[in-house]
Amino acid sequence: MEFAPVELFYLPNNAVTRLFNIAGAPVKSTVTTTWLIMAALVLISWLATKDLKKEPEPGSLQNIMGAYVEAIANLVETTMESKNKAFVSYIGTLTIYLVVANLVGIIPGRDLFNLYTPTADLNTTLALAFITAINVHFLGVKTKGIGAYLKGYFEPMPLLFPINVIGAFADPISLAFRLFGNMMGSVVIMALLFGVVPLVVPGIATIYFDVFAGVLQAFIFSMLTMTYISMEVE
Amino acid sequence: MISIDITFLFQLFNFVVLFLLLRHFLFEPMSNFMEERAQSISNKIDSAEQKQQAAQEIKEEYQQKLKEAKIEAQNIIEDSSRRAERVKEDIIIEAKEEANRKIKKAEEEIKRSKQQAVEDLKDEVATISIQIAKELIEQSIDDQMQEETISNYIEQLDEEKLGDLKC
Repeated sequence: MEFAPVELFYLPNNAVTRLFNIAGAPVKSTVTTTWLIMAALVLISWLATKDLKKEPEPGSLQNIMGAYVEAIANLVETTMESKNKAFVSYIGTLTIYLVVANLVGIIPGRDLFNLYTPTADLNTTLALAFITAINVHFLGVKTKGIGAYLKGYFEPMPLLFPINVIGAFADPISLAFRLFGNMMGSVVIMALLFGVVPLVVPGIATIYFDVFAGVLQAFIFSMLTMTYISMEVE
Repeated sequence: MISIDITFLFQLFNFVVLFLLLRHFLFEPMSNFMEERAQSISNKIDSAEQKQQAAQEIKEEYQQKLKEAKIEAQNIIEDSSRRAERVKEDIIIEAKEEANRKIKKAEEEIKRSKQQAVEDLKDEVATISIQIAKELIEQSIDDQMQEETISNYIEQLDEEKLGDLKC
């Protein structure tokens, strides 16, 4: 059992990769698994919305995805007090990606296909937290104006400026490490359990460590993202 | 186990791409569709409410009109019964007058007829008296004349027939 993503192949040394200075960079199973998840999500989305009906059948893809979009829109409205569609798309993408990514661990035979829980790789969680941080600060500047935004670092008193700067970095870092730690922990514990008792017990444990913790952590990540953004925007 | 490498950039790029794709394929069409649906439902509710309100107004209007019509009908009935009453009284008065007039006329007629009859009778009596008197006079003259005539005839007979007889 691998506790880290494996390097599957390396980017070819061609014009495109040279342009971005990433020629020969290793592509890990984290990335390939993310591609598969992306493909699956885009396919489901396309199927759900290619033929929108006024009265979707209960249980149809349109119905399920419609309920998901509506739930996210309601969540964004109550948490962020905003009806901004960009927020709905962002939080919705984040949540569905995290839920699916966190549940990769329960796919049987994942080692055969080199599937690796993307969120058990710090790079993934840091990337997501980085996007959240960019959103927070960009929207902070956009809504308050650059002066008020910078002034916020000297409040309630100028002495607290270093603390505020640390806080600005602490939020996304804690966000990334929380998710990474939980998912990594799940992966490690499940691997250990499989090693000790291969039958029955891992099946019960996986319900908690993979399913429950996975969905819960995805939800926490999205909720915290919304909270950080709304705190900065207010 | 914990390493930050090029995968960070890949995942950053992947998530942005996934965000754009899902926004295009899922969130925008779905939320637009749901908004349209909500809009059409609220439009339907609005129009139904408007129709109901209009129906209510029409109903009230008709009730008002019905009420007015009832009042008017009542008025017409009262008016016409009053008029009929008046007409009735007029007719009775007129009939009484007519009757009185006729009675008066008949009385006058009777009076006149009586006078006439009296006068006629007087005339008649006079005529008859004269007639009787006349006849009486004539009769007395006639008897004398008849005797004369008969005696004349007999005389003639004697002269003519007896003379011719071959006795």
